[in-house]
Parts: sequence; structure tokens; C-alpha cells
Amino acid sequence: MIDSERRSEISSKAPISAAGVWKVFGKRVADAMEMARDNVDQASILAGSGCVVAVQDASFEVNRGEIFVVMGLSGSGKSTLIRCLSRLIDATAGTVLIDGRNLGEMSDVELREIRRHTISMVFQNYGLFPHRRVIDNVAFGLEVRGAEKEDRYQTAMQMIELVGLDGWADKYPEQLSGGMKQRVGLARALAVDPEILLFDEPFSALDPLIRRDMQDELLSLQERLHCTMVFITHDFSEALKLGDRIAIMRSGAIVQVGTPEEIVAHPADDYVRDFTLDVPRHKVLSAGTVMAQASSDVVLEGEPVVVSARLETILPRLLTEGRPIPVVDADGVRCGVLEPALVSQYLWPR
Amino acid sequence: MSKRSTFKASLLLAALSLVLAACGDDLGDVETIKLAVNPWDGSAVNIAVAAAVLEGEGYTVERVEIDENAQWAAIAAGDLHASLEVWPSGHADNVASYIDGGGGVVNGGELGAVGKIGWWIPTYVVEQNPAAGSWQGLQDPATAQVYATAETGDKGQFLIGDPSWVSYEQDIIDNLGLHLEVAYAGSEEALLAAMDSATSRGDPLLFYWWTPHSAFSKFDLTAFELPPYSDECYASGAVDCDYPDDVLFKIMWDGLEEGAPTAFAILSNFSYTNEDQIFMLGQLDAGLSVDEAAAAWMDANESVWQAWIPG
Amino acid sequence: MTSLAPQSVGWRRPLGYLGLAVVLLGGLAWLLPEGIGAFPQEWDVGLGPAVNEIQQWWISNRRDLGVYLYFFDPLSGSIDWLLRALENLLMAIPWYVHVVGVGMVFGRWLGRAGGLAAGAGMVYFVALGLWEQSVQTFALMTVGVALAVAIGVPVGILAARSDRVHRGLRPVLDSMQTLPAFVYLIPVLLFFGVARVPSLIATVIYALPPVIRLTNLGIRQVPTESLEAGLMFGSTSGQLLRKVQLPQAVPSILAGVNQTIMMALSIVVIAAMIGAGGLGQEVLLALRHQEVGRAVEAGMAIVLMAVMLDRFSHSLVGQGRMGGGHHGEGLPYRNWWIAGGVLAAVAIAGWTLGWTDYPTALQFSYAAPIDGAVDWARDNLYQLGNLPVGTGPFSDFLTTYGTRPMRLYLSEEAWPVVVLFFGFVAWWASGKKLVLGSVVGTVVIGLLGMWTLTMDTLSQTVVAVLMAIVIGLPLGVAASRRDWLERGMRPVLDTLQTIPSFCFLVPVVILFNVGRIPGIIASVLYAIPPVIRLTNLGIRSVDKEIVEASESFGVTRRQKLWKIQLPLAMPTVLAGINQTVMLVLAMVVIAGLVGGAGLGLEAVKGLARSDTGLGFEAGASIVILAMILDRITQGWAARFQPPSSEGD
Repeated sequence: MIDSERRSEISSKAPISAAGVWKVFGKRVADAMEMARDNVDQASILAGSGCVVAVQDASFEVNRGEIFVVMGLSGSGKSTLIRCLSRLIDATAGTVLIDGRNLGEMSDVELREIRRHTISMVFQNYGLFPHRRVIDNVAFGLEVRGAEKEDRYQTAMQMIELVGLDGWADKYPEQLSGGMKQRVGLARALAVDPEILLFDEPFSALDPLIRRDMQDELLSLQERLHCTMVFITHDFSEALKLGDRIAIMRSGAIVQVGTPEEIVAHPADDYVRDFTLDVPRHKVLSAGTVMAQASSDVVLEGEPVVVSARLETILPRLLTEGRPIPVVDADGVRCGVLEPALVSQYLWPR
Repeated sequence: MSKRSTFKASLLLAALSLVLAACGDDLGDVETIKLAVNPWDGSAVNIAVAAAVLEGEGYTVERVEIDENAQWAAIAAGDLHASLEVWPSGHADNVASYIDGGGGVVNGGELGAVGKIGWWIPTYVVEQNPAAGSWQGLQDPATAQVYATAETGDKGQFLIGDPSWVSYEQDIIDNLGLHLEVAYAGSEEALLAAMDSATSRGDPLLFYWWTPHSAFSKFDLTAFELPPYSDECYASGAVDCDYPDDVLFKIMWDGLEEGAPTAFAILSNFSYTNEDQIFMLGQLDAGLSVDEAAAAWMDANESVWQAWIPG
Repeated sequence: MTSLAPQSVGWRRPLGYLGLAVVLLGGLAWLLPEGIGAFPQEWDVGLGPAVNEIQQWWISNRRDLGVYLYFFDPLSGSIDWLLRALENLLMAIPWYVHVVGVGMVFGRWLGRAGGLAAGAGMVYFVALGLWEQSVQTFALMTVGVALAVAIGVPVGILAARSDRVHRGLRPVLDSMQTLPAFVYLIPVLLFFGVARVPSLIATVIYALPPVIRLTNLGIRQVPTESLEAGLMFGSTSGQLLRKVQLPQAVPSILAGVNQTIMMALSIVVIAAMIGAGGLGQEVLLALRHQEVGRAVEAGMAIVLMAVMLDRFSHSLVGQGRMGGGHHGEGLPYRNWWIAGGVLAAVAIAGWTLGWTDYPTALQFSYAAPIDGAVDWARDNLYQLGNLPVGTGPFSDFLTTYGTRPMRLYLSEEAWPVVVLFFGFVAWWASGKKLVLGSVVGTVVIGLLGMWTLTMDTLSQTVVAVLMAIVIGLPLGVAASRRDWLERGMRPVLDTLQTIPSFCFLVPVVILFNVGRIPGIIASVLYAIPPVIRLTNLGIRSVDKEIVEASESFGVTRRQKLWKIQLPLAMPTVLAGINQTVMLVLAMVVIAGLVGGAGLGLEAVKGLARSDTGLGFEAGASIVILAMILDRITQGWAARFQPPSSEGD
């Protein structure tokens, strides 16, 4: 099922668009790419060419204002991929367009400009400057682009308040807890008012409870900011929680891109399916995904549900009533029916 | 204490000299004479006497402690102005490149004192074993064995100090057929320590040494008998005789005569005898400082040093 | 021997291989035609004479050369001026102002006890009549270290930014640290003329490498994420350097400065040989008169200065790590400026009134008991009656069964066999990468005409290192078991490493006779601290859980040591041995001064005869030998690292 609303937004003006991006570490790049195309596995490529194929032919577009999550296990190339999006690493092949401009062809000055104004990044281990106070960390981006001291401190203070660190501006990073450090990292990234935010596993170093707080906070921030975000994680549940869309990576290649629901409902292969097994499906799947086509001549009793309703809200009814429930679209026109047998197949696939 | 006040004085002088730079009198352009003090006492007392005389004439004197070989480059550059006790036997190469080769150093004439390099042994060695005190004796392996060490095995050890010292030891040993092997103590200090160690136990030791030297006041040493020096012996190319007398000489920067004519004249005239130097070395051993020893000698020999001062 | 294999991971090439190699190479020597002995002298490429020709040319033409007139001469002139100005300023300030001032500064950074100790240290310089010498040494060091930092930090930055510069620099830095200062004293004199400046330059050459290395390291160690963060906000490379890299490298740079200070202090005596004056001169003067006690007094002043500067710079490193925003727990001087003003006023008053002398009545000296101890040792330790016990017989024993046979074997054996043996040891210890380097290196030594001398030095080095291990390893083990021993040893080891080896010169000759042994003894004294320290550290840092696990199997203490602690501590112990090897080689020249023939004596000859070419040949051989032995021991140590890093 395709989210038609989002699909319509996809255009060449996507803030980030990657086409055929490769990154090969090593010298015999061409050989390694050849072998990768022939589906040779990483270990054999390394043995055969001395190269590591970190990113393999990645293509995707990120829509304006969405959170695009790249999910993969360690070594799957996701961190390399996000660095290709900001040219911290030069891609071996392929193009990355930022607002339609080719990142790979930018001069140093242009690259600097785009980093100063358009793209910001939050790092896994915070990437804070230990020799600078919190406020100077947050103001760093403004400082390097030449903002006056007063202005940048004013903006930095606002950001510090925004992430809830009032009163900590004069501390040094090592005096902060992990969660606070990442708030600084976030404030620092936001301070330059970027259009695009890149997150490289920002919460993976945090305790589970703090991680959840930070996720919630990110979502509530996003409601206000409407940034375009690319978010790297190795945690599938985090991907489901944050992602408008998710790209799943394996051995450098993107194996599936889709909304959380699409991925849970229709995993592209066994590898992806493995991730979805422990997912609380009733929280992810919606009526539209699991409904059966209903011929309009069958008369159904009961209050209809809308296509976008999550199963968790419908399940009690389904279980107590024990009969099919009609599904209607946003305009109230019937478009399908929830059959208990079919629903249970989606909920418990094995 | 006196040093500290000279420091202050030099501070003031430095300031003054900036002001008065143009007003130099017959001293010349160079008003601070830098003299090389080599690492032995004889050199130190020479320089102390020279410094006192030069200061009496209005110069400022700076003494720089420096190795006798390293000094050549410094004097050639004019960074040092003179050194007063050069042992010719050890500096043939330096003389060739810095003086004869026009390297910026001039020969400043003889010091007057005469050195003598030779072979020495503690006196008790000859007393116990007279054969061990002459070259004829050491032609016998058994006698030479007296000086044997673990390093030299069957042969006797002949100890020389610093590798810079002029040395015909190997020639002498080969040509006289002595059962000896040359070993380097590495430095004057080490050779002195070896003497101290050996004499404390009454062990035999045969070594290279020279006079005048303060070691003679500490150890009872006897000259080892070698065939006497002759010019023919050295001219033959196969040295098999004792060392010649070393006529000590002075060296100076070639710009000194123009830069400080009076100082140049004083230093050129500077000359005294072995006895004069030994007198001062004795004062040092009696506990006087170098400058006190120099002053003691100058008090007693005013006519000698007054004669050095021109016109 | 192969039974060792499962025990320690890295032991892939058993010791037995070495024995086998000796046998095989012995056989090879048998097969070679007669008469192949030491490296043929006629193959000497004649580097020495060439160097001397250049030197001669420079001497004759120097005064007409622009580079001398307009670069070296003014440069040395201004350095000289700076040195004198600093010296005069420090001398003008009365000693008691120094005592109080230094005490206050130390108190500020290191707390009350630190301040009092520092003040007492300052009194030592005055009370032993070493004030002027200490000031000279301090001034020379300060200017030297400042120059080293001024040169080293930019070079380190360059090295950090370019791998090519980094690679090219490494052998240069290695050479700077292993080339005996004796070798370049004369050339430095020729370039920098004035008496005190060349010693300063020599100091800078010797002391420069740590600043460069640690600046480079500090910048390279800045976390990647920090760099990426800097880049991601659009920093220019200048901004990145100023705002991100350098500030984070400050602790490392300060650690480099600290090491540089220590290095500078360690060649104070050698620098005095070309006119540095100061405490080094005092040591030399005392030695000339065989006054060991006085030499030790001056030597201890150098140690004291080193300790004070070390503590002080360490506290700065600590500050640097905190980001510069926090202050130590020193005395809170609220009126810092007022105190400084008062001191300045007292200084000026004291200077004008001439109240600068230290009361003679309060002077003291401990030279006499030390001289007495040396005499006592001479009379009692050399030999016990007629028994073969004592330092004299020990020295003879070591000569007869250690250095002499090894030297004769190495220098008389057919040279290709020795070269192959070097290659084999390199392979055995480290792997095939090192073989070529070792073989080429040894052949180059031969081509320099230094074959026999190098073999001589090598045999002394081997004996000294073995001795250091035999003594140091058990001491390290013992220290690892007893805290009081570790604490007690620390100042002794610190002193051994900082006191000028020249102070030992007379006693070792008196006790061990002139020859190769006193040099070896002096080298062992100087080079043993790393073995002891790192054995102790290695054993102490073995994972507690592993030790407990072994105890749960009921091991004895001996089993625990041999089966658990030592194998696991091996990488650290070998790092200590590596350092010891390098320190022994650094002592080669000093050994030459007490009769240790070989390259050291040759380097001394080079200085003593102004034969720079000869000095360079000997120096280059020492450097090559040092590099080969360094890489071999490092490679060996690396093999003991657990292989986990490979599997990752």
C-alpha cells in the first residue's frame, strides 16, 4: 500500500535525492564494484580485491519535512551512507542532490556554504568540543559563519532553552550526563536553523529510558520545526517510532524502503521479516493494510472504521463482536472489510 | 659574590656601551675580549692572569669554558678572541685548516711554558719490580704481564685517556717490540680515576700523561724509561723513542689586531715559564680560587706581566 | 620450547628457531672461503672525508656567504642577546625573591605542600653555592624549550595534516634522538659561532622531537566525530585547526613540552662541553678534579630542577585537560597581583641596596660524605681479600666470559653471516617486513667503515641490556607485589634517569676498572628504570578477574606469576625492554668516555679531533643500530599483543 499523500510530494525538488551511490574503501575500486554487482559477498570481495564495499548502489529520495530513517545492523554501511549525504565522505560513484544541486560537484566554498546554512548533523558520540562550554558548543556553527558574539549567544541561549538545558550554558561537556550531552548536540545542530538534519545513531549511546525521552522530544520538536531529517539507527523499534519512511540496509545495499506499516506488513525478504517478528503489530498496522476487498453488495452490520485507524483501536471490537467490520475511506465511502481470520494472519504471521 | 657584582657591572656597562659606542679610545672597537678557557687548570690560570691584565687596561673580559678543539671554530668566527695554551702535538689538523689554511685564526706566539708528554707509572711499581719501569723490561712477556688486565689478556695494558691526545703509542710499542696493548680510558677524568683506583691498592698501571699537571701533587709518579727523543727518530717515520717537548703556543682571532690593538699586543707578549704556571697550580691545590692564584702570582711577579703591556 | 606456544599468543616463532639459526649460520660460515672476516675496509664509501671537505669549505668561505652573514650570524646574535638578557634579569632578582616567588607559583598550582617543597628546592640551589650556575642552566633551558616549542608545534601541525610529511619526519626525529650530540657539536659551532648559542642549538636539536611527535599525535587523536562536527558546520581548515584541533591537542602538546624539558635537562652536561656553562660546567669541573661529591651536588641540582619543572608542567597538563576553565586546588591567592607587586618591589629594593648575598653561615655541602663513600667503596668493594669476590673480579669475569668473546666472535666472523643473522633475528622477532631494513642497515654500517666498531658496541649493548633485564625484571616483579617497595623505588628511579651520567663516571672507573665494563655499568644504571617500571606496571594492570580466575583453580604464587601474570604483562615488559635498549644506546658515548671502545669512543674522537666526518660515520652507525634494535624489539612486543584486534 502506498501512502498516496506522500507519493504526490515526490518530485525533483526533493531536499535530498540519492541516485546510485557507491562507496568502496580500498584501491581496486572497479573490481570490487564488479564483484558486488555479481552478488559476491563482502568477505570474498575483501579477499579478492582488498576492498570493502560500504555502500552499494543506494538510491532514494527524502521528502521535505519527513523523518527518513536508515536502519541497519553494525557494518551495514548506514554511517557511511549518511556521510556521503553531507560529503564528509566522497562517494565513489553516483550522485547526491541537495535541493536539486549536485553535492559532488560543489566547490569547497559552496560545500562550506551549504553546511553552514542548509545541513546540520548530530553524532553518535555527541561530537561535542570538550574545550568549549555548552554555550560555545551550541554557538559554534554561528561562530564559524561569522555571526557577532552577541547574536550568536542570544540564538544559542534560545536553543539551550529549547532543548531544556537552561542553567547549564556555562558548563563543560564532561560535566554533563549522556542525555544532556546529546541535547547539546541537538541544540548545536538546530542553532544554525538548518533545512536538513542528519542524525547518526544519536541515541544509541543512551540508557533505554533516556532514549525514549529523547525520541519523544525529537518528535515533538519536529512538530514545530518541520525539518527534513535523515536518521540512522540500528534499532528497528526506534525506526518504527520515528520514521515516516524507513530504508533498511544490509551489507551496504538498501533492501527495502517504505513506511513502517509497509515494511511490517510486506517485508521484502526474510532478512527484513526477521526484524518485524517482535514488533507489536497492532500498533503499526492500520485497517487499510489488513482489510479484504469487500464486494459492495454484501451488507455489513456495525459501525465502520476508517482506513487509517490502527488495529490496536479496532481489535477489542473485532474480538468481542466476532464478525467482519466494514472499512471506509476518508470520505466515508466503503472500501473494504476487516475479516477476523485475515487480520489474525497479519498479526501472527506464523 | 664578586661575580654577582660583575654581573651588575656588566649590565651597566652594556647600557653605557650603547651610549658611548662611538666614543671608544685606543682600546679599539672590540672592548669585550672573549677568552677561551679549556678544560684543564693550566689553561684556567693563564686566562685568569690575562684577564686581570686586560681588565687593568680597561677591557671587559669574558671567559668561555670550551673544549680545546671546539674553540677553533669559535675563534675563527671572532666569537672568541684568544686561547693561550695550545699543545701543538694535538692540533696539527686545526693548525693546518684554521691557521695555515686562512681559516681566521692567527698564531699568537709561544706561551713560554713547555709541556712534555710521556709514559708514566706509579713509583711503587719500579720499586717492587725495576724491570717494569723501562722499555727493555717490557720486551719480556712475563714482565709486561704485570700490566695485564682482563681486556688485554696476556699482554700488558697501556692506558691512554682522551682519543684527541696525540699518540705514537702503537708505533713505539711495535717498533720496540713491547708486549703491550693500547687501551683508551676515554677521557682525562677516567684516566685519573683509574690512577686513583690502582694506586689505592698498589696495583701496577702504565699510562700516558704529561707535565705540568696537578696530578703530580696527588700521585707519586715516575717516568717510564723510553729511548730518548731525537729528531731522527721522528723523521724516520717509525717512531721508537720518547715524546719531544711540547712548546705551547697561543692562538688568536685574525680580526683582533685591528679590533683591539692593545689587547692583541698584550696577549701576543703574554709569556711565562713552567715554574710560573706550576706555582699557580700549587696555589689551586692549596685551596685558592683561580683568580686568587693568579693574583698571588701577579703580586710576586709584577715586572713580568708589566712588560707585556705596550708603550 | 614449543610447549610455550599455547601459553602466550604471540609466540609463533619459538626461541628454538634462533638456536637453529645459529647452528645453520655457523655451518654456512664453515662453507664460506677462508679469509672472509669483518666487513672489508676497502668498501668504505668515504662519507667521513666528504663531510670534512664540506666542513673545510664552510670554514674557509663562511665569512663571504650571505646565508652566514645575513641568517646564521644575526640569528645567533639575537639568541645570544635573549639568553643574556634573561640571565641578567634573573640574576638581578635577589635569591630570596626567587624562593618566595617560585614557592607562591607552585603553591598556586600544586597546593601548600608543593609550594613549600618548591621553595625548599630553590634554597638548595643557593645554599650549595650553585645559584649562578642554576640560573644559567635555567635560562638556557627556558630559551631552548621556548625555541623547541616555537619550531616543534608548527612542524607537528604540518605532520598531522600531511601523512607524507609525517612519514618523512619519522626517521629524522628518530635520528635526532639517537644521534649523539657529540657528533653535531662542531658543525653547530660552525654555523652558530658564539659560545652559548651552539649549546642552545644542540639542546634544541636533541629536545625538539617530543614536541613535534606529541603535537602531531594530539591533533591526530582528536576524535573523528569532533572533526566531522567541525566540518559539518562549515569550518574552513583554518577554523578547524584553531577552534577544534589545536585546543583539543593542548594536553598532548603540553605533555610534549614536559618531555622536551626533560630532554633538554638531560644534555646539560654535554652542552657544557661547548660552552653552555651552568650546572653542566660545574659537573665537568668537579670531575676534572675527581670531586665526585661536588659533581653529585651539581647533578642533584639538575635532578631537582627537572623534578620541579616536571611537576609544574604536569599540573599544567592536568589543567589543559580540563579545558582551561577550572583551576587546581592550589592556594587561593585572591591578591595575586598585589603579591606580585610586593615581590617586584622587594626585588628592586634588594637589587639597588645590594642585598643579594646568601649568608655564608647557612651554606652547606654534602660532598665530603659522598667522597668518603666513594673512597670507602674503592677500598672495600673492589675485592674482598684475595677472594674472587668484589667489583674488580666481577668486571674481569664479565670481560672474560661476556663482552670479549662476543665482540671477538661478531667482529671476526664472516660478515655475510652476521648480516644474515641480523635479518633472521628481525624475521624471528617481527616478521618479513623488517628483514630488508635490517640487512640493508647492517650493510650500510659496513659501507661506512664502522663494521668492527659497531660489533664492539653491539656486544656491549647486548651485555648491558641482558644485565638490565636480569636485575630489573625481578625488581619489577617484587615492586608489583609490595606497594611500599614501589613507592620507595620511584624517587630512586627518577633520580637515576635524570642525574647526569657523568656523575657516575669516576666511581664506575674506580670500581670496575677502565674498559668496557664501567660503561656497561653506567648504562645499566641509566637504562634500568623502564624495565623495572614497566614490569611493575604490566603485572599490576593484569585484569583482576583473570587473576581471580586463576586463583580459583588453586595456583601457587609461582604458577600465577609464570603462567598468568608474566605472559599477560609481556607486551608492557617488552615495551620497557625496548626503552632500555634505546637508553643503553644513548649511553654509548658516555661509555666511550670511560673506555668502552667502539662507536662511542669514535664519536668522542670525532669531537676531540674536530673530525666531524668520523663523528658522522660513527653517529650514523649508532642511529642505524638503534633503529634496527628499536624496530626489532617493538615488533617483538607487538607479537605479544592478544590477536583479538585482528579478528575484529
